[in-house]
Amino acid sequence: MILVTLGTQFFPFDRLVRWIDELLAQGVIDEPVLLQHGETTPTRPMHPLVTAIYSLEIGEMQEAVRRSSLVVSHAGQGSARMLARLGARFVLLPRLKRHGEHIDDHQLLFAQAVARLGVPHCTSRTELARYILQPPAPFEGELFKAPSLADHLVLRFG
Amino acid sequence: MKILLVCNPGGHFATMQSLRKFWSAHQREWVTYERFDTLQLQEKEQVHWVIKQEAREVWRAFANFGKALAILRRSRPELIVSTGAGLAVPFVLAGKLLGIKTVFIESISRAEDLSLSGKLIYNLVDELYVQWPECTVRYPRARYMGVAI
Repeated sequence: MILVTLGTQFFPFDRLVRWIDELLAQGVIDEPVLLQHGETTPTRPMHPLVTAIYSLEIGEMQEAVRRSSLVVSHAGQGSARMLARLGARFVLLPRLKRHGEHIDDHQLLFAQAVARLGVPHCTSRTELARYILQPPAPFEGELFKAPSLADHLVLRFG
Repeated sequence: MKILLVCNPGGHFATMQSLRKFWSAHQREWVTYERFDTLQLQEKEQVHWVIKQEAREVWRAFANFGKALAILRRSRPELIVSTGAGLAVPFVLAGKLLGIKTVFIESISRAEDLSLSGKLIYNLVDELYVQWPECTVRYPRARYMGVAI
């Protein structure tokens, strides 16, 4: 199973939904897809292998991640951290401003920033197809193994 | 200490929540606007609801500057902490005018460059924290002391 998660932003992310549908039609994806679409309600009938759901409870999401051979996620920080923590095979696909998918390109900046920590991301359908045919290794380690800013603020301000 | 926590909904709100260990020890009030995530604050926390102000909404920022002055005069916090985004600008500016100490925490999305909000208040804010060490290279006033997650 491939899990596709678009987050719960108000902005639509039709591009990724369309790409998944096209990759299914082409046979690049030949396994069931669980699509967590949030506010991006699919506007056309999806391929029969797709199960579309508005949002998953945190436990359901973790269970779905464990059952997946690959997770394709928008480049939200919360999603990325969860996927890293669960040691998932995942690839980030940032929402972009020029397609009206977010207010700015911070998801792309975030994806580029975590790329140095070994988190893969892609911005084109061709790259996405490559990750589907050859999923990345399960993520190992922690995404942000760094001191805690909260601890610093406690020391600084009490 | 009495603190005012200022953040937009979404990731900025999530970042502020991750600093609970810090703010939970203080008397505090929140500033944000209504969305499904921030609405859950109203049960437990004291919240000042302001005008929805997203990226580059200059007139809304002006309106919130007026609200900021009113809130600060009434609440008299000793410290304003903001995790962004745009709401930080009117509140840091108003805090500066009223002589209240301000702290801004840049988003973890920004590894090398500050956000527009970060740039606008860079020279006004008392302390500015970034979440990537590389980000201090171009911005010597910024400090890296870890991440807010």
